[in-house]
Amino acid sequence: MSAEIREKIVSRIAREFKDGMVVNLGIGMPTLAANHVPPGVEIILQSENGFVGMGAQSRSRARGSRPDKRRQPAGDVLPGAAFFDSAFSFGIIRGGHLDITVLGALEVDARGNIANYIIPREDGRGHGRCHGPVRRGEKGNHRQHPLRQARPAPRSGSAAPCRSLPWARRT
Amino acid sequence: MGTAMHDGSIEVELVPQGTLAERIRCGGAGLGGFLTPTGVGTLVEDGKERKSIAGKDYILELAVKADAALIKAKTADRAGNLVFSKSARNFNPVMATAADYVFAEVEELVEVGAIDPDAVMLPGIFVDAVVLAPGKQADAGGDA
Repeated sequence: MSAEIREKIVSRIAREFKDGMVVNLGIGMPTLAANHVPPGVEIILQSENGFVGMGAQSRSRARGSRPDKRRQPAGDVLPGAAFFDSAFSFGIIRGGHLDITVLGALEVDARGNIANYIIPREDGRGHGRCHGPVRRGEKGNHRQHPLRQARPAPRSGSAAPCRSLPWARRT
Repeated sequence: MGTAMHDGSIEVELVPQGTLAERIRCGGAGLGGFLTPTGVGTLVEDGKERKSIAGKDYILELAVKADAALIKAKTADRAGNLVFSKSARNFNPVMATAADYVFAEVEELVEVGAIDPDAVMLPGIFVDAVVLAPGKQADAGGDA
């Protein structure tokens, strides 16, 4: 996918952000959305690794290098940020305290069921944190924006309030 | 690790991250498990009990415990009270509650009383051994 198309997709996603929203961004393209927050809008980024209140640019950098994503330099943390442990952090996600999560997905169907944790007969990717927010989607206060790659894969959950922004098969 | 998983020499169970955190928390809190909607209708549900409460489906996830845990903190005092740094807290405190024996590797070791009780993130009652990271110095003499 060209950089131009990526920019177009992530800037479209960022238009969903409204002032004061608590937002969790998945690894990869979703993190780029933080760099396109509309003028006058401030969002609060939550990370499943245990904090709220991180700068958009820094999150993108931090999440880009996956092995080190838990190690945030002090400069990445905004005034008013807070740290907590993983059990608490997933309580935020699963308890319905996020406004939006942006996820990548391997496959999305017409009903908003998404598959994003394993490809059959290939090396495992693991569940990560995707299942929790997917379930929260049922509550209705929590929308998702799966970014689609076309490949058959077991689903992670159904997500009725999900909004899909599909793109062509990744090469 | 990946090789050992594929050749079957170790058994690996893939668990959604939030479910893992809560299973560990249950293990440390004396609970048998918990009901969660996460994973309902997916491969995660295989072999698990489903329960419907007020019209919503949940699956039963069981607590996990460990024989030993290796955790990492920024600061310890000699009573094993720990302070973690930023998001490096993640699974460390909860895992310490769910293991029979807990080793904590720390960057600095201080005397008892040097950490404000309000700032302690994991009480020393959960920590069995403190190991100073290589190249780091204890604040005052003596072994941990």
